[in-house]
Amino acid sequence: MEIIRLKDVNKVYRTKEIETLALENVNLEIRKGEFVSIMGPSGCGKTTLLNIIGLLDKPTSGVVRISDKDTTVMDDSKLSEFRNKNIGFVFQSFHLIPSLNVMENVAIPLIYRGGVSGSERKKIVTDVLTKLGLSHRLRHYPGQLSGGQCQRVAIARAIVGDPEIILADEPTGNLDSQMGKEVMDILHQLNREDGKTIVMVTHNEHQARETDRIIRFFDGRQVI
Amino acid sequence: MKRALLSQMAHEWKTNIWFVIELVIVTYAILFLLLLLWSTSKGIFDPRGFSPDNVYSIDVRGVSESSPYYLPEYEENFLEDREELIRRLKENPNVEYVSLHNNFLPYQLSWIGSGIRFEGPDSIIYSGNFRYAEPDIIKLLDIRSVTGKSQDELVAILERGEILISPDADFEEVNGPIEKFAGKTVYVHGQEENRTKIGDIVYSIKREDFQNAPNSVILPLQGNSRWNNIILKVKPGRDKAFEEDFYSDYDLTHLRNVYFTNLKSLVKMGESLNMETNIKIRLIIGISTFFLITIFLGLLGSFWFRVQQRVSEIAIRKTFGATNKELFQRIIGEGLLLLVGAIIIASACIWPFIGRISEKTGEKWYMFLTVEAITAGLIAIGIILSLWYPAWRAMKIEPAIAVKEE
Amino acid sequence: MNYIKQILFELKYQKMVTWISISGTALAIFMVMSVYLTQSLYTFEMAPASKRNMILTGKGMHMQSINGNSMSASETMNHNLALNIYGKLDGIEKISLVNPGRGASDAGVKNGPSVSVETLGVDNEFWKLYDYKFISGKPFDKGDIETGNNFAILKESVAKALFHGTDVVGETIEIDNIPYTVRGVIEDSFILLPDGKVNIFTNYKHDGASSGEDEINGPTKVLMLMKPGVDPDYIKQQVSKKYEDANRELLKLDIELVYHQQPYTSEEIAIGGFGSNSDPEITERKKEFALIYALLLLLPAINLSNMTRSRLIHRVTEIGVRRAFGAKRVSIVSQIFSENLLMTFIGGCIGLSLSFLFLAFLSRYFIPINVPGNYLLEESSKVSSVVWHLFNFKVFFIAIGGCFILNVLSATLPSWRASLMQPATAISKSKQ
Repeated sequence: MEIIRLKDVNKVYRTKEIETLALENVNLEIRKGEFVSIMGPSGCGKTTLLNIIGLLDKPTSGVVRISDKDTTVMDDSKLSEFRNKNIGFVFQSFHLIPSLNVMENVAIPLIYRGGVSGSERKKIVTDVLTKLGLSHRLRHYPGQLSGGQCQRVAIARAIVGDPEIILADEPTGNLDSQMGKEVMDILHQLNREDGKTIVMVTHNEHQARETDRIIRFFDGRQVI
Repeated sequence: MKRALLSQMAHEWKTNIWFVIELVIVTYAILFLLLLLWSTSKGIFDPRGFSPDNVYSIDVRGVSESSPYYLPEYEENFLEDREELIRRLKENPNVEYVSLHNNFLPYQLSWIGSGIRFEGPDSIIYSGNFRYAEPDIIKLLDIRSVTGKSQDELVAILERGEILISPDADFEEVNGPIEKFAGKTVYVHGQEENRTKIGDIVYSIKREDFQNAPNSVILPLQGNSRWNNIILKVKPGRDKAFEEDFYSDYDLTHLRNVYFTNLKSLVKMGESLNMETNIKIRLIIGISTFFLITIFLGLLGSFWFRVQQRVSEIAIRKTFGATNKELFQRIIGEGLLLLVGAIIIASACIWPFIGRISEKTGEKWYMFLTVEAITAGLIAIGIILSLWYPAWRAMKIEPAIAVKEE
Repeated sequence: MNYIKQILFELKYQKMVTWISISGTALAIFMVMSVYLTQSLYTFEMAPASKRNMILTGKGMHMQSINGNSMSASETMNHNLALNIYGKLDGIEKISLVNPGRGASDAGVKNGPSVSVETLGVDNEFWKLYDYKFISGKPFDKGDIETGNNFAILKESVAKALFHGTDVVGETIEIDNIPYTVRGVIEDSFILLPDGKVNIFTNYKHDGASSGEDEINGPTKVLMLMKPGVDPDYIKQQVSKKYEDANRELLKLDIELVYHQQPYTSEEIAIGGFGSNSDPEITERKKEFALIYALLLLLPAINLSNMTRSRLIHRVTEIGVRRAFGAKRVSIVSQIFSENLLMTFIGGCIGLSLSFLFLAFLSRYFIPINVPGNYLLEESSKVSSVVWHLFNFKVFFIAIGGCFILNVLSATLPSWRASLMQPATAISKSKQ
């Protein structure tokens, strides 16, 4: 069954002077448990697509269905709740909050979920971080970690709320190849062992080929 | 450069509009406060007309008839006994001058107001505070002639029974310079039987240091009333010694039914009387400072932040040859341009109220312009001070950073 | 907890902006609290005036002619008229009649030292309205008031100046050459408390003639202690009726009394500036102060609002990330709000502390507190020795209220605007 379903999605950015068409008539279906990579040159609309799938941005027209729910009718508050439960994000430049330590950064999705007690939260976070080999870095701050460690913390943050979908925007873009490989291994493991659906934007042809399916974009249009 | 400055400011109008509002409020407030300050304290520049140093006031009192110490058999001796006590005061080694007076005491808000009429068909009237005292008062309070007569001459004038008056702008506007009235014959209180001469013109005696002095008419003490009190001057540096004598030497201050009491230093009386105005001035300065600091903090923060945000822009400008001086001038110029805008708006806002402000403060419109210039100057200093640090930061930015930040 | 960390973090990374925010808040709260505390110096309660705000003062009256001539005068009351008007009011627990006398007098010991003093004639009830602490001796009793003899109760500073000690009950002092027997010595009290400037209390004997009373006028002032929970307006209504009754009696003298809100509360006496022939303008005064407070808060609020905006621009990405992981708009707004509130509280505490320091050591330059030349009152005019009596819940509440207003003014708009940004836009900001 399809967990992500985009139908006739258009995205137009308007400023005073110009209109930019970022996505044009995109139709896309991604099945549960699939690991999909999105490729294309810079500025072709990959990130816009990922943002729309991740409900961080609204399409100008078209329907986005996630887990068989129509998200275009949800209000801002519902969208927040929905993101919190169903989607985890990994960003190219990690976007860890510099003033919070590793545990606190990872705990963010659980804090906004509500109904999770402090001790429960601590246990879940510690488990996830242990799983990702960061148990000795719990009290460190982002500034004290290497890039690879930061990205692993970011992945921990993405999966701590146990979402079905993980969206990764060039997760290895800021990492050297060795660290990049580690991060890819983790993502593959999450896909295989935990059955997470992963959508990843990447420039790396080699990494893309290791995923189940490649979607290529050019000028806002899906080409394959 | 100028055009770029203006267009960039227009671009950031949302931030700037708040500053203009803030500047308008502060300009308005400081304008008003300065006008108030001026009208409260402008009299301070006039001569005081006397010197309060080492001068004391002493009350002369009679023992009340209900007191067990009252001696009815000496009731008639009151004036003689007072004379004797004054003689004792004059003999005290700490004392320089003693003078009996009636309503002469400066720094006192009660007075006798009356007039004198000049002899002649015009019946010109000069009115003022009537101050009566023994001739020594001239040296005691260091009263000075406007026309350059010596104090000995002034004493002689009072001893002859003539009187002294002081300059009065309103009177002179109608009747010509006051100096030409010296030597003229007058009727005190306008009464034919009180005929005397104007001996000389002296500086008027102020009632409060911050107020313009009211006219003074100085007259020799007439008759011998029981209600006259004493003004006394001690020798320099002897004030403590005299105070001690006054309170411990019973015979210096008591004789039968007469006693001297309520020793008050004129300097302290002045402090007390000027206190209210002093406090008002301090409040005005305090509140103005608060407004200026507020402006200072607001601009400092905002411009510092703008410099931070524009690090790369500034670096690129530098790469293309902008000098530190230009950058510095640019930032200061932006601040001053804001000020000009604010001053114009504040003035426009104040304009309808000028009538009311000048009614409250009694000032003419040109005073308003002077004060406006001072206000603008004060705020400009605040602005330049607050922009100094951000501008300096901008100068320190290395051109290389531009690349790194990108 | 995390709010504190966030602030500490910003302290480190946005030193200037945080520093300016905190000092701006401190300055605003300092100004507001200094104004407030200086005002409350005139109304706060401490021994011996622990019930100050429950005591009403009836003094002075506005008298005018009713036969057509324009006589109009501010006068004081005689003893009988005072009793007629204020003597039998409902809601009053105790009443005392006092005689403010003639101001400065000369007090001394026969053939010994003398000092210039302020005196006040009081009855025996006076000592039940206030809780003066007696170092020696006791208050006046009914006998002291009814006898023809003169008695005095000295403040400690007077006793020490005249006798070099306080154990002087039974000694004789002379006030303007009339002997008084000392009944007791009481502790000095702060100069701005009721009768703080009085050095010697004498027994007020209302024997009419000797104090120069006529049919209406006399030297009498009335002090009334209200029963707990009584509204001053209730007393004022009754007094207004009593004025009408008195005016019926005064018809034969062709004069009438014009009512002007007597008796006065301590707050009304504090604002001062009105005579017996005009109403205390308490609402006017309150409006003036509201305007001052508003101005003192508004200007710093504009600055703080800009500072908050600056800080948020730096944190746009963080807000986007939080939104991506499920933070609702409300939680973003409330987070920024709480952080800001905490920061304003830090500034507020600094400002509040500074205002107390100001009050203790500098307020005497800004309010007419000292009496130059009256060295007996020097100790009593030190604000630093009473300043802690001003620290109460209300003060704290007002300071916090001030902080909160600052916060609402400075954080609401920026935080709401930050939360309105689409998460995608917010996150992408960092890439520019």
